[in-house]
Amino acid sequence: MCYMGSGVLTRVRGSYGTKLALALVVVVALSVGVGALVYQQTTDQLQGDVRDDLTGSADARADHLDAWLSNVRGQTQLASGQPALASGDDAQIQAALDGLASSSELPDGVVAVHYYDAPSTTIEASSNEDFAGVNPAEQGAPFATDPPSFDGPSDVAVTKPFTVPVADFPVLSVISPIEGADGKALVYMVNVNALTDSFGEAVDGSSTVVVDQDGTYVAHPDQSRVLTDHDGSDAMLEQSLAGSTFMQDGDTVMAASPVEGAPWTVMVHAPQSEAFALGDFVASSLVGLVLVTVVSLALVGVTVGSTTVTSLQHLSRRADEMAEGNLDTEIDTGRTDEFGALAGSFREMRDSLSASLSEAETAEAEAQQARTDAEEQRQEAEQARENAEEARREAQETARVLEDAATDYETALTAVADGDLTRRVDADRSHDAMARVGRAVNQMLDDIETSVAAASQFADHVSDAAVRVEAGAGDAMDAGSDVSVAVDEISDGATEQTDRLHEVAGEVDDLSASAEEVAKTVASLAETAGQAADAVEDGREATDEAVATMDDVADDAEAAADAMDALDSEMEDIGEIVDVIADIAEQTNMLALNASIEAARTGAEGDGFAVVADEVKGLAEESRDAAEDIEERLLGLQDQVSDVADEMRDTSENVADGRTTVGDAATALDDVVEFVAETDSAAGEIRDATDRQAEAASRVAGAVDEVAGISEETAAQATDVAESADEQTETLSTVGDAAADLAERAATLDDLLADFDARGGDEEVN
Amino acid sequence: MALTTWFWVGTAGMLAGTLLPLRDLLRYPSHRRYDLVLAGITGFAAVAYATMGLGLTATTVGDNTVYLARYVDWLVTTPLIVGYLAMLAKPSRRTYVWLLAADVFVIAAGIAAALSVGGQRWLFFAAGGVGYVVLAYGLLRTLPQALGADPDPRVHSLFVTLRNITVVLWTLYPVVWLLSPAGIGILQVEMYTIVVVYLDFISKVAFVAFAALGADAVDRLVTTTTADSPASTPSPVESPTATDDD
Repeated sequence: MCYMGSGVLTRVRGSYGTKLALALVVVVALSVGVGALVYQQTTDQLQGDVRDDLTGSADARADHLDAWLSNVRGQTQLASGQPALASGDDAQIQAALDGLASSSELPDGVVAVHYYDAPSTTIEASSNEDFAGVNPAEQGAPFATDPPSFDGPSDVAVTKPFTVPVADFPVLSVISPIEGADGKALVYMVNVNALTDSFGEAVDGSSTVVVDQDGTYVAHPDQSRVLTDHDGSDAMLEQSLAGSTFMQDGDTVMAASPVEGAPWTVMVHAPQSEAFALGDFVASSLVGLVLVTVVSLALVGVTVGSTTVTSLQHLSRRADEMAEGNLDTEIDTGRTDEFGALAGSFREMRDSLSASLSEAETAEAEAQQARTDAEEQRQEAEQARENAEEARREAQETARVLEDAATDYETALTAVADGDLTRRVDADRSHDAMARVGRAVNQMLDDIETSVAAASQFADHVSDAAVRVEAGAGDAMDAGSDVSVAVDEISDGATEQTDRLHEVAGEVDDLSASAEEVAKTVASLAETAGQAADAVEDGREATDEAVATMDDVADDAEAAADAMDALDSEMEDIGEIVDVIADIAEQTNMLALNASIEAARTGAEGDGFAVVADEVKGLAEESRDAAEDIEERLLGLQDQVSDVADEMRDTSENVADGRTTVGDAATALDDVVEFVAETDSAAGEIRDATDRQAEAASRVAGAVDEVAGISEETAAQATDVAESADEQTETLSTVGDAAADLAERAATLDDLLADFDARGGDEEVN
Repeated sequence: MALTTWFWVGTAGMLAGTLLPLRDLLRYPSHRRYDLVLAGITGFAAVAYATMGLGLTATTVGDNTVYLARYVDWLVTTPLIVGYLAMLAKPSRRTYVWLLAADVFVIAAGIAAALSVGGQRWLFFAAGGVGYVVLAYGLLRTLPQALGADPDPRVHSLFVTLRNITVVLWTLYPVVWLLSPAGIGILQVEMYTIVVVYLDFISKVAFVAFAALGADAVDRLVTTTTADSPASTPSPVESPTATDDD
């Protein structure tokens, strides 16, 4: 039972139509219930009214009858006490009777007043002549056939109604003994029909009857029924005589009220249909009203419910289709009311969902693309960083190589500058330009060393020759002195002198030739120095190239650093895009949340839509997560990029350091250039000295030629020997000076060359 | 007020209800078959009420006066209502036949009950009740199945609305009859007449009015059925040449 109950409850809960139908049934039941209640109350009220009316009517009529009876009794009693009646005088009696009958106080319905003699049962006199002399006993009047007994002269008796032949209407008699006339009684004769004449219809269709204790009608609207047995049961009669009564009997209702002054009861009868006609009409109207209400409710409920339920089912089905992802579904209720608006909202939601979905897809694809791009850029940056690192290492390596080379060269050249011409640089360099510089420097040093060695040898030669010239000149002077002593020996001596002079001339010629050779060598040295200068220039250019290369490296590194910064800002842009995506995702999420709240508000019908909302919410959260992931990656990437940029700047600084080192090398090369220039100038000095030497030698040669000529003249002209010998001595002294001068100059040259520590410098000059 | 007054009120209501399908008959020639059925429902009822308003066909059965015209009206118009519902759902020919047979049986049993007295009357009433249960099953179960699992929403909405109006209001007829003087007699003759006129008015005129309001659903039906016809145009509503010869 419980399970079934909950099943029915679930079914009712799940169906708007069932709910509405249930609500309508409840309303209808309520209407019917209220109608029934009103009907019952109205019926009760109306029946109570009818009962009260009838009972009141019966009571009033009973009271009326009672009052009338009392009146008749009182009147009768009063009249019976009239002295005229007791006078025994017929005329007086007749007059009294007529007076009574015509009295205005005569009660209603009294048709005659009789003077009755009980022993003879004869009406001796009457106000109505027709009754005078009538014997009531013969007529069957109860008061005569069954005379009542009186307690005293003031007692009054009322007979049952009866009919007598002499009267054509039912009568009853009120009898009172006449005071002072024994056996005589005053009889009021009453037309019973007059009693009911005043009884109108208490209720439509009602009739009033009076029944006595024997069940005989005392009064009846149908006068023929008077004195016949009444229609009701004896029990009913007993009840009616006992007190006020209301009862329903068949389709008749009856109210009864006993009459106090007589054993009678007044009964008011009414047919039920007429007594309760108003109640029935009210009931019919009520039921009709309820039915019309039910019909109207049914129409409204059914149409509203049906269209609502079908519209909702349609929308629900479309929403389900949307939930299943079919966003192309047609949503059209053809209504312009709230359902039309709802369908419109559904359409908008579908379009919005569709747009959001495609936006989300696009955003996702864009995010994917951005991620791929970022990845590519990161890889490129990584590659660039590696390249830069490589370049930095290469630059460092190059700088180190250059620095090493420059240091090496500097050391070697410093040593060379200090005079160690045997020093060579290590030209076996990985750096091509430095290797070329090294080779050129070595070549230059080779040439310089060779030249210096050659110059030194030559100077030695010159020095030796000069010494020998000086010695020769001394010998000549000694021989010239001997001339004056031994003129004979002059000729021989002159001849010998001539030979010696020719020899000297040859020697001087040799000297001259040597000097020219020196000059040639020095020129060669100058040329070599020029080559060295060129080589140094080459080295310089190579250094500049190295510097330029390093500048390029530095520029590249700087550019790479700038590129890194640009990448950094681009990644910030990507970060902003990712933020936008995250915002979209957040908004989508909010939308989905609102939608699910709406769905929750709509109730079970919105479940399908809630699923869509949840789906969208999930998508939005995924998008947001992806966006956050990208952002994190971007942040990491940005850190890496700024690291790379920093490293780039380090590289740039390192390159600048290397550049400084290369600059130092260039400066050292400048020193080399200076040295070479000094070498050049020294060579020039050597050349000048040599030139002067050659000039002196040629002058020596000329002098020797002159000496030879003089010697030949001496040989020829023996007489001029003494003069010639003096001249000769003088000339020889000049030669000796010149030779000394030469020797001095040669020594000077030797000293100059001694500064150079060249291989072979110690060798003897032959 | 005299009973005939209410009959004349019913006549006026039915005539007013006939105007809508007549208007649609002129406006949508392609709906002719549907609009003729609708016009038949209220039109015939108007004639029947006019007959009663003239005091004709009144027969005394027992203590009650029976107007035969009312039953003849029902014998004609209720099959038209059932037929219209079936035309919306388009069931098999067999379903058409047994639905109409059930309806005619119900009304026939009602006529028999109205014209008989005593225990026989209740026997016919019970037979009509059983017939009505069968008819209601046909309307509530069989016809929706004929409509299909995913019917056109407009057609479905129109069918469900008209079907529910019919079933709910027709269910009230035996209740009213039970309360009438012919039944337990709570309703007096005049109020019974008023209620029945109102019920008739609602179940016929409201039915016809809602059907006329759902003309676009009929459009779809007509479009669907004429879609196979090569002469058909996309919008039969605006095409007076469109036919419904199916």
